[in-house]
Amino acid sequence: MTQMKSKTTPITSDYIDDPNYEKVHNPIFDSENISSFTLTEITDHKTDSGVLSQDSEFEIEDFAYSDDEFVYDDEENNETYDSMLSQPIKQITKKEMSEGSVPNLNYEVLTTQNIFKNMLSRLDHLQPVFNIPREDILLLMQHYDWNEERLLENWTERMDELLVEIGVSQKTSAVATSLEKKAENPDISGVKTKRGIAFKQSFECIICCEDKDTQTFSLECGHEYCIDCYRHYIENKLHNGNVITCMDCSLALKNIDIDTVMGHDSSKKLMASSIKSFIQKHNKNYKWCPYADCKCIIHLKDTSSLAEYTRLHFSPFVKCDAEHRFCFNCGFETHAPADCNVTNAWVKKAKKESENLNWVMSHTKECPKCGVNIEKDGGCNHMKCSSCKYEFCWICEGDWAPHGKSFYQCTLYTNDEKSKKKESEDLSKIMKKYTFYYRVFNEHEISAKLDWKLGQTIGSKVRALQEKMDVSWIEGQFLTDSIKILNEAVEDLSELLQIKDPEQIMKNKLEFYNKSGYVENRMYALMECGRDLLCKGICKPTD
Amino acid sequence: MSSLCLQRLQEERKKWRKDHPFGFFAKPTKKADGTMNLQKWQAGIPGKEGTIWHEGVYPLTIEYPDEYPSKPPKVKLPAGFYHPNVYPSGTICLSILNEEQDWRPAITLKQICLGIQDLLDTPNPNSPAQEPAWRAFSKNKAEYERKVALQAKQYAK
Repeated sequence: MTQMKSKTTPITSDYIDDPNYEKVHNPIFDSENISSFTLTEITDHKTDSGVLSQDSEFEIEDFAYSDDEFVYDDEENNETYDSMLSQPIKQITKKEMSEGSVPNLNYEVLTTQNIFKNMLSRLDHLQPVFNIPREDILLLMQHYDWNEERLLENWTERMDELLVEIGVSQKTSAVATSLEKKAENPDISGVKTKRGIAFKQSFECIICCEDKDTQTFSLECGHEYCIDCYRHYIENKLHNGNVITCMDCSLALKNIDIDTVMGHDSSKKLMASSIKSFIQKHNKNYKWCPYADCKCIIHLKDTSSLAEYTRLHFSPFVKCDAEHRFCFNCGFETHAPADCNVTNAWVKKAKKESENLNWVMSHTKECPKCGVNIEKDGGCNHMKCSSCKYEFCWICEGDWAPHGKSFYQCTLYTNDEKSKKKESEDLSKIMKKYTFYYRVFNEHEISAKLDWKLGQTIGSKVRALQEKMDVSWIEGQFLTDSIKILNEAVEDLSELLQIKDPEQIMKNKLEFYNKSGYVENRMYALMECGRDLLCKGICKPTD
Repeated sequence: MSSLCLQRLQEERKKWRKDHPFGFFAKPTKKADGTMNLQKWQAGIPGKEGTIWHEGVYPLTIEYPDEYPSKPPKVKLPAGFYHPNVYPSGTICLSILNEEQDWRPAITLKQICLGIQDLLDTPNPNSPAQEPAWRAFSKNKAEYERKVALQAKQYAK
């Protein structure tokens, strides 16, 4: 257990000066602007239903998905609807933070290339301090998970030891470990060999045990093997993201060595996997965009505000460069008005039917840091997550450090009797309720897919409009703005967008604005009222 | 099976037959059809003279993955073996057998066997793999030694 816990040191934080990477995003909008009728509607229901029982899954069935109440052309609401249409558009769409709500999320969108570039520029920065080749600093930094502070601290204290430990230089003393039996390789003792490729006739490689004329590779340690074995070995190690060492001792291969052996830029692969494991280890600040094939990484510099989001039942939604919106907390796509707990409970519930999940639930625990599922198949309580390397106690799921040497008894664990709630609920009732919500959920999912298709068609219409009418891109933007809103709720707007005649579309410009503004407002109203229910503890997940 | 894995194993076998430490044995197992299975070996590790382990020869199974020698073999003692660094399943917790720690492709069967012989009498209490032996070893040496001696008799030469 020599691996140290990594303190989150955002390596990218202070030297990205490209303003394009800075995005200030505020997902919360002024709720004052939202028409009040939806809220009153719901408040009434709330008071009617009185105290809701705690053990039901989602205590919102009385109103939440009974669609009629949410259809905006509902008779009794027509007045508000009309008055809203007459409001100037800017007031509706302006995104402001209401007082007493959550702080802004300050994040940047990166790609692995960005991170790699940042790492390289970091190396340039550090080079004068270390005064050793950049390649060597890279090895040090990889070893220290890019935690500069800790590296520098250790560097000043015990520079030479560190270089040996990390495999940058060889041991100077003649102490040979039991594995480096010089008797077995008498030809290497004492002689310092040149790093690199050589050609040898009838060379006997002790890895593959073949005797042949071949190219060989060795580091300064003199452990020389045929190039095929080295290639094989490196190929196997590239995806781990760890520093690759000599096949016999712990002298490290630098990127240039890897490229020499492999004959192309394989070290890029290693760097990519190294960055992946970096993100995994710093997953509090870095998150991959969860959308398929999206390469974006969101870097949140200051995670202190996240607690505030959770407390107020807001969700920290972020948007990557490919316009994918997702929740930074739980990694799901946008799930307003539900908060992360509700979403999680729902997703788990929806998946529960599968046997797989049942097995996972009964045999594994989630890593308390990165949430990966871990199965314990023996040994003591000291666990080390193979994904994020977090060390924790299997019993109490807390940090390992305070446990010290008590490998089998966790003294920090207090048995929570409350968790053993009796299962006295009427099963068929729950099942019925679940199927109802599942169906609703499914319907929404299907219609979301249809909306996306509609969005595609509209996109092509916008292009056609630009061609035929010769309008500028900026002028055409009002349509694309509408598309985004359509993804959430579209019905009325989609009707308008079915107008085929380009001239007619330009005439209806105001209409577009009004409708889209309205649709948008409906969405926020829904979000706000959902959040309100969560805040007041009226609906909560029990899972 | 990859050719590198096979080649190397054949050579390991040759080397072992030519020269191996005294009291040890190691041989590939047989498949159902009677042919040799080079990826699964059986071996015996004698306890060191002058230690509480000396009476026994402890049976090992060694399984080589296809990625060998990039990846280490999986080495097991019988399930339930009494030793602080042996999992209840019999899997041995030793740094040179761990890919993420000290495994190197250049490590030979002989080194593995000697390493395990070493481990028998010098357990590492900071990396326990089973509770009973670890607890006895750190808290009740007499009890530990009694159990080990008993086990040695069970696996007597």
